[in-house]
Amino acid sequence: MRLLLLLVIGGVGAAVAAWGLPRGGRSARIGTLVGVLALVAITGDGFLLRPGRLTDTGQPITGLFDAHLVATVYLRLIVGLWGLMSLLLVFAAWLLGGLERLRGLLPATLAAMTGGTVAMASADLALGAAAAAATGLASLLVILGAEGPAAVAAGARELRVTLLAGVVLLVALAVVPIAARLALLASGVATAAAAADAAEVAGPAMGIVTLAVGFAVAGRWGMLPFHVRVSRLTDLVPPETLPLLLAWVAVPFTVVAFAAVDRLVAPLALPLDGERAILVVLALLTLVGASLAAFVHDDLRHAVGYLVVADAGLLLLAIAALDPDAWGPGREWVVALAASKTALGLWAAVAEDRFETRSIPDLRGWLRRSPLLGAGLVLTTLATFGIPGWIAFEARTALATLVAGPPLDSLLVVAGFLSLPAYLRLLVLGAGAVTSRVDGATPERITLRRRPPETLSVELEGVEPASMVTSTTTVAGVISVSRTSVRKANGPARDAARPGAAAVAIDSAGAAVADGADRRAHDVGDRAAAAMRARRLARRGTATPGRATPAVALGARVAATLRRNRTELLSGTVLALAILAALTSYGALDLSGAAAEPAPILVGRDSD
Amino acid sequence: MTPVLVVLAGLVVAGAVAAIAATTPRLAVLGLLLALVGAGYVADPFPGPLGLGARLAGTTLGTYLIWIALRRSPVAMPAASVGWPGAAAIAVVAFVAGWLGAGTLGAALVSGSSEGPGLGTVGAALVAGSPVPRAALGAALALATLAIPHVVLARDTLRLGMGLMLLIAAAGLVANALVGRPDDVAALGVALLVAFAGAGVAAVIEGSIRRGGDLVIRDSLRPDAVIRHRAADEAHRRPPA
Repeated sequence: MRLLLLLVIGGVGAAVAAWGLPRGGRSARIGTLVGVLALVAITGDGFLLRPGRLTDTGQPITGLFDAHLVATVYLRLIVGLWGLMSLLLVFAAWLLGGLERLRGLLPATLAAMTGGTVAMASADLALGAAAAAATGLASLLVILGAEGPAAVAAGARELRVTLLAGVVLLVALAVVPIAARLALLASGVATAAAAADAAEVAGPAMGIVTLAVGFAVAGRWGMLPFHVRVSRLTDLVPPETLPLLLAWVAVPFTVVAFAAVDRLVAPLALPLDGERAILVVLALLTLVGASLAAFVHDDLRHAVGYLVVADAGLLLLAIAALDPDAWGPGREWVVALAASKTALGLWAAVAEDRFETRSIPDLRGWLRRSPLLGAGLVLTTLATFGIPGWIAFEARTALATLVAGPPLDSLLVVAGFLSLPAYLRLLVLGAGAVTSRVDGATPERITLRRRPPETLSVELEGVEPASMVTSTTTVAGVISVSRTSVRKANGPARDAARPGAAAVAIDSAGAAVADGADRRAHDVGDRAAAAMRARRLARRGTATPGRATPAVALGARVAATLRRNRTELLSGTVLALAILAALTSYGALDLSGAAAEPAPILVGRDSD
Repeated sequence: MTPVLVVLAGLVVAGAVAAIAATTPRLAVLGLLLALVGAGYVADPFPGPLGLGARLAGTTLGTYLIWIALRRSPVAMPAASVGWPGAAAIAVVAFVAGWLGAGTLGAALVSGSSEGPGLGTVGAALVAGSPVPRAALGAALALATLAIPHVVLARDTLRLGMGLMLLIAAAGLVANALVGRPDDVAALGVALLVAFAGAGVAAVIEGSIRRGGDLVIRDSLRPDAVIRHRAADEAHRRPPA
């Protein structure tokens, strides 16, 4: 029931957010509210999912649609982690650019989480494959929201890779049982003639299926030689959406592909050495090539994209192993990968926003001005590689040793660490001499001391009486205009920064604030000014004193406070994501046990 | 019933030919509808009513969304890489190849079926010698052969979408031929995939019309984009009279 609730809430939230956010104004606020509430609800619901498949007597006790959808520990962990990280991403996106930046991100996140839940909860592989393919389409909500014809080209590429990968998996699932049957005949079960006939078809068919599944996963993650899509995507979409588009959207598909290989191909133990070699070479090329590209690229977004691709290369090893033992490490690595790349993606987005550049050389000295952000990147690096004993590290080595013997396994392990110099480059560069861009950026404050407002008094001739002064106040980038008497203007300057005293905010003047300004206007007997203000407020529909509800005023104050501390909050969000990623990489919440859990199988008329 | 289903497989292929070779968007969408709807029925044993209903609903919805997205499209599409005769010839050859390949596969399964373990429902119709799975595999190969060039070398959003939708239909035909009667819930999943895929194709088509006024995919980030998207006539310009 909780699984069904999650799907309903996620679907409704995605639909409302996708409807409201592009419209702007009140619709956007409603869409955001519903979307965020849905995200909170499905995150909480995800943690509350009750894993369980069979009773002691073997009867299904949970599950939807005749036990086709089943909650598992692994599903609970992924949905919970994905939800937590998405909440932080959405918060950061709002801080970076307000509701405009949530337009694609929020509905796409909800849609992807809903579709991904169906895919990963599916006990029927065909259903899982269809849901995983549909999940990838959520990316279009972000991509097609971008301006220019490049958005269409990128959308077309995303559509192609998503649906092609889904079709490949669906066909593979249909072909594998027949190929397995032929392989069984070829192994000597049938007569010699039948075995010879079957052997001609079975091996190649199973090999093609294995390669096709491997290439589908490679295409979905943008591994070599399908990497062109990644750099184009990073150029087009807002940077804070990259964790979703490059990592999380591909997770359900990868999990279903692992299940298909583990359940249908690996148990047959066929001699598919040639196919395995091709996949290992592809993984090696990806690990080396993408790491090199990430190191030499001066574009921060491209570097981040290639770092995602480089780490995704290890996923191919889980398929190439063709060994049931690769099931656990493969599923561990995909979660650790998505978590660490989420932190990395947001770090890059915040750095780009703060220093107003995507050029890595221009970021020299960033660490000196942003220590919290630096701590976030250090933790992200740690989460990416892990240390001995952490499951991220153990998964890397396990996948390498499962797929090849010495000395090739060592080579694969080393290749997995080739992206480390790209991280070190960012850190070392950050400790260097500060560039003008970094020098001009807002530094992080470690203490929460209130900033003194900057006040500029302006006297308007002919409009205001001599006793009135209109002043503009700038607090952390928010400009407000207040009209006070000369006596007030000479008072403590911090009064202007107090929400009740700041008379009229340009963007969203609250009626309570306006009421205070009116009283001061009447004090000096300026009827003309009061009448003009009344007319303006009447046009806004807030002429009646007391119309601004306490909730609205409180919300405005909270939003203003959050925006005022935007720099520190963004760095804190990156740090929080990095801590989550490090915990995941360490193996918190028993990720190792959850990943090793068997995939749910369909209890139906044909399976048992 | 069996001959009807074999003829239906032929109609599915005809619809795919129309979807790929048509010069007007509306005709292409009608061809796609025919291919997608028919593909769900070429199965032996015949699918259950719930699964069929889901497939029909998903297909209709997906195709209708594409139809809506084409409201403001130009009347004529960019020239197809193959015309009607070429597309039809490719489809016929692929259909025959698929039919014969299915026959060979069925023979291989039959020769070992008495000694080996039971197949269950997997490939049962193929082993039994029914022509329906052969027609389904033939149609699947024809659809895939027609669609893949337009997916891999896509130049306009509509034909890319047509190719992808035809590939989904081909995957469904392969499953019908090899797996047997599909599970109702799995059929519902595939129906949802078709509907969402149709929505995705419609969104990309609408985006291309809104931004460029036509269906051509213009990648402005590519340095050679101008060369890639030049008109076909420019290759063989006629000398001025």
